[in-house]
Amino acid sequence: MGDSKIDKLGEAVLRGIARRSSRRGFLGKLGVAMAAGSAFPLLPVSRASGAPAPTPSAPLSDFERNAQSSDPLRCDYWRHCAIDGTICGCCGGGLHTCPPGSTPSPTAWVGTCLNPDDGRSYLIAYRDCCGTSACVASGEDCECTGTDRELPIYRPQANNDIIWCFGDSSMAYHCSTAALVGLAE
Amino acid sequence: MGRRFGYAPLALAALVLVAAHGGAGFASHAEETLPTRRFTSGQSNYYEFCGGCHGLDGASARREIPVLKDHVGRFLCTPGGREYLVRLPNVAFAPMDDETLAQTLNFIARDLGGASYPAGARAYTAAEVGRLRQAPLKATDLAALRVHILEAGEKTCSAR
Repeated sequence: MGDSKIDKLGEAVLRGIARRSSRRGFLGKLGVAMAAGSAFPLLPVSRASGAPAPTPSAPLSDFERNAQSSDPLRCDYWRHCAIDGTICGCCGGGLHTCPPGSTPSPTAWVGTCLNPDDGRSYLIAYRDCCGTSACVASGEDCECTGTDRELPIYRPQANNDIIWCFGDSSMAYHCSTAALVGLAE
Repeated sequence: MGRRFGYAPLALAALVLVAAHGGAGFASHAEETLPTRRFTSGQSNYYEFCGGCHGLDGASARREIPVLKDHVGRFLCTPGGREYLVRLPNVAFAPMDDETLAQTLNFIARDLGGASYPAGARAYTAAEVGRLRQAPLKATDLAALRVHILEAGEKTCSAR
């Protein structure tokens, strides 16, 4: 059997390639390709590893796990997460109004509470009502001690053991309101 | 400057909110409509860590607590006044990082300060605040120091 024309053509092409190229040249190019390949991430998976991880949201406090949004005359009402004292609503006032005969203090301390209905955090001003003796509450669950985000007494701006009646004509404590300031950042 | 006007509606909304809450005729337990617009970082931190005493609009018990509203911008008239605001103990030791504290100070000076904010004043930066808060004021008579600083500013500042 003689060589076919196709065999001869194939042999000529391959010998031509072999003459023009070298093993060293091939290895050199392969090395460049490998080095460059490691410098450029090829898959989305590689790029994702460089992105910042989502920050885990802060774990819920005990208060936040049990908070409700229907009865503002109970200590577990969501806005009372950091109230320390008697709920003014139990004394003839409201969430943001003082009972007759008492006056809202010009100063207050501001806490941050999680609303269980929408999962967002709101700034709440715990404004004490002052000027008359302590309220005798009508309900069973009106004396509260919320401590979410409260700081120790040596950081008084964010402490609720203080009678927040500064600036009022009287330092006599009556009850505490929980006025909505707005949506926290 | 754009930011200054950007805050104005928010500040106004806060004022209206506060005014509404101050009214005695509000239905006692009615749940008001919750706000949907988030405060800026500076505004939110001011309310949480400063506004309880200084007042949500920058004015509360005038005898006990320094008024910020339409006044605090004057401190930016001089380098000394600019430093004074950051070195005040309650500012220098505020539980915020430098960037957040700078944003909070800019909200206070520019937005609460209103017309008292000098034309062309520079905003505080995190780097500037970070450097100044390293040296909190040790003076006990802050009221006297404040008067001294404001008098110096009267001569140089174009603001009222």
